[in-house]
Amino acid sequence: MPDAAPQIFGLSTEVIGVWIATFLTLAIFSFLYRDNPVYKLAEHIFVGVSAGYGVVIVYHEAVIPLLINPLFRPELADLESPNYIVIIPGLLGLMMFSRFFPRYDWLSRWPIAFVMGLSSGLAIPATVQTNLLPQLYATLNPILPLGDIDPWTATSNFLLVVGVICTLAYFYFSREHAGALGVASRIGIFFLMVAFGASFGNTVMARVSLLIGRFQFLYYDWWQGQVMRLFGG
Amino acid sequence: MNHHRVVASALALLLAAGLCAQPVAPSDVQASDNPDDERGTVLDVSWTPPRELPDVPGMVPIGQQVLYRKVGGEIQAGPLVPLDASSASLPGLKPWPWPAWEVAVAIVWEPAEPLRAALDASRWTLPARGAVRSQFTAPVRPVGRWYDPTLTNILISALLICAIVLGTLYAVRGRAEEIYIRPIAGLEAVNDAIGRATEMGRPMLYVSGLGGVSNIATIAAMLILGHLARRAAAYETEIIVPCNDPLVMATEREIVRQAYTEAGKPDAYRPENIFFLTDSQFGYVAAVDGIMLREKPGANLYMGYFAAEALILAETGNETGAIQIAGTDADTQLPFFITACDYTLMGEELYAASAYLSRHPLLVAQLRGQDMAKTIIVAILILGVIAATAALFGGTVAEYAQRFVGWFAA
Repeated sequence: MPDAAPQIFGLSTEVIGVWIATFLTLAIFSFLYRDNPVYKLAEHIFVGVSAGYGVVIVYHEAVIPLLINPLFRPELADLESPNYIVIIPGLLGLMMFSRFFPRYDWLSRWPIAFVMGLSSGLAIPATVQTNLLPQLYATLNPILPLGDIDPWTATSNFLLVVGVICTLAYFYFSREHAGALGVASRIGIFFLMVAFGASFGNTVMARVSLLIGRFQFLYYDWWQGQVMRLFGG
Repeated sequence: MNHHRVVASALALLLAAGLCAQPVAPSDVQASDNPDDERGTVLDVSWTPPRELPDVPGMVPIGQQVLYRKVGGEIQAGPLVPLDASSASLPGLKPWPWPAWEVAVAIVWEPAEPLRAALDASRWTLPARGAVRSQFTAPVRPVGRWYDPTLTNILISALLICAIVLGTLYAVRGRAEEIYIRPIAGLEAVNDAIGRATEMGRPMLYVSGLGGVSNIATIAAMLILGHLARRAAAYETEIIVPCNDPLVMATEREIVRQAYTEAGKPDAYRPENIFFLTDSQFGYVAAVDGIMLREKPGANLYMGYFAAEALILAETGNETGAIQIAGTDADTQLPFFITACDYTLMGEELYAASAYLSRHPLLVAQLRGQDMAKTIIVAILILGVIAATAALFGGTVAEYAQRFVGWFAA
């Protein structure tokens, strides 16, 4: 038998949680009418709680396992001896606190520069590996109906390569879009809009499913699970 | 409960007595680096399994388990393999700096069915398994490769793109200002947006999305913010920048402060207008929506990486009547910005924006280099499609064509 939820003032925390979630859901929905004090309250709770939660998560998921444990409790970090290399990122992190002291706030530029430089460098091979080459390879297909390639596949492959080249032409910035480049870029825009239309429909469906999820919560968890039970339903 | 403890303890004694009567551990255990493993996280283990196992009353042997430990460390369980197996791979070891491991192999017994049922019922499982193991090997260190030949195409492609951009930078030095950049409607509207907010006496809202300081779209957004802040400082128009990431906030404060200084109005810089809200996606959206409704900005600019919050932001901004300009490389969000904003920068237009707005020779030359790289990609596409089609004809040409296409497989 599962353990019963803890009680506060004689009420189960599970029940209290459903009522709070319902209130906050309806408070956020009230924005559809206009800005109002109830929405403001929900907004401030949302921002405050999520910011505070973020601090706790960072402390427990980053500071403790990546800095404190490797330095002071190596056995918890699966290390035989303290790993002093983590002092460097630790110092970089501490340098961010120099922003509180205007005279030394220039120190905070170092960790920012380090993160931006490092991530930009990492992004180049990662983009080539995950975006450029796979997409290039996926576009290199036969465009004639020979062997195992049926006419529909050949046509699809042809449209694919034309679409990719024309879309690239649209993103050509250092030449005037006139003549052949102009025609290609206009065709490219057409392909882009078709892709955006498909993406729009796909994403709207996903959003509707999120809305349905909220309504299901209101109906099953709150209305049937709490309100109807309260009135003996 | 005491009764079950007695049963379990007796079982353990039984197993120990049965095994002590005849040693049955695997022998000649040897471990070596797996030559096919690039990262150095796999050891190949081989051993001689025992010819026959003793009959232990009430227990059945279930297999051989590879055990491993760091020198002097705790024993950890590796893969469980059949009783007749004589080799196994030990995966999941720590990568660089490739610590050394001691390896052993054990025969594992479990209680036979009637006893197991009794133990399960008693929820007393501690001695439910028994094992007898070989000696640990001497420490063995798996070694990864410093160079992975399967990623050569990625290395060459990255170097080629970098070389093209750097070569262009060198080639156009001194005359980068003369390079043509095609008009981008969304960027030309940025100046209109600043003008409109100034005329209305309202602030501008600049949202740089959800990306962290390492996100390329966020970096592009920060460069645009620098230009915008210089103009805003010149017109003395307030600019509000709510941030989703503390590091982005710190960087954007530096950028805006620098812009106000360059515009000759350092006293007009207000750091409190660039603030951190929360790193929660929807908490951030709720707060930015509230700012839009209460501060009524004359212009809203959304530049950077956006996810599901894109439409919520753009729709609310649209309700307030502000002029809206968006720019993102998140292709799933572009349709929403296109429908709800006045102007939208699509994908690479966002990256080109900083060159377009600033006309900085370095950035303009870089843009030219990127266009050169695109030209090469188009050439590869045309050649590759011809090669893929030629491969259907067979023969020697087809073989070369296939190799050419295959080179791009990442």
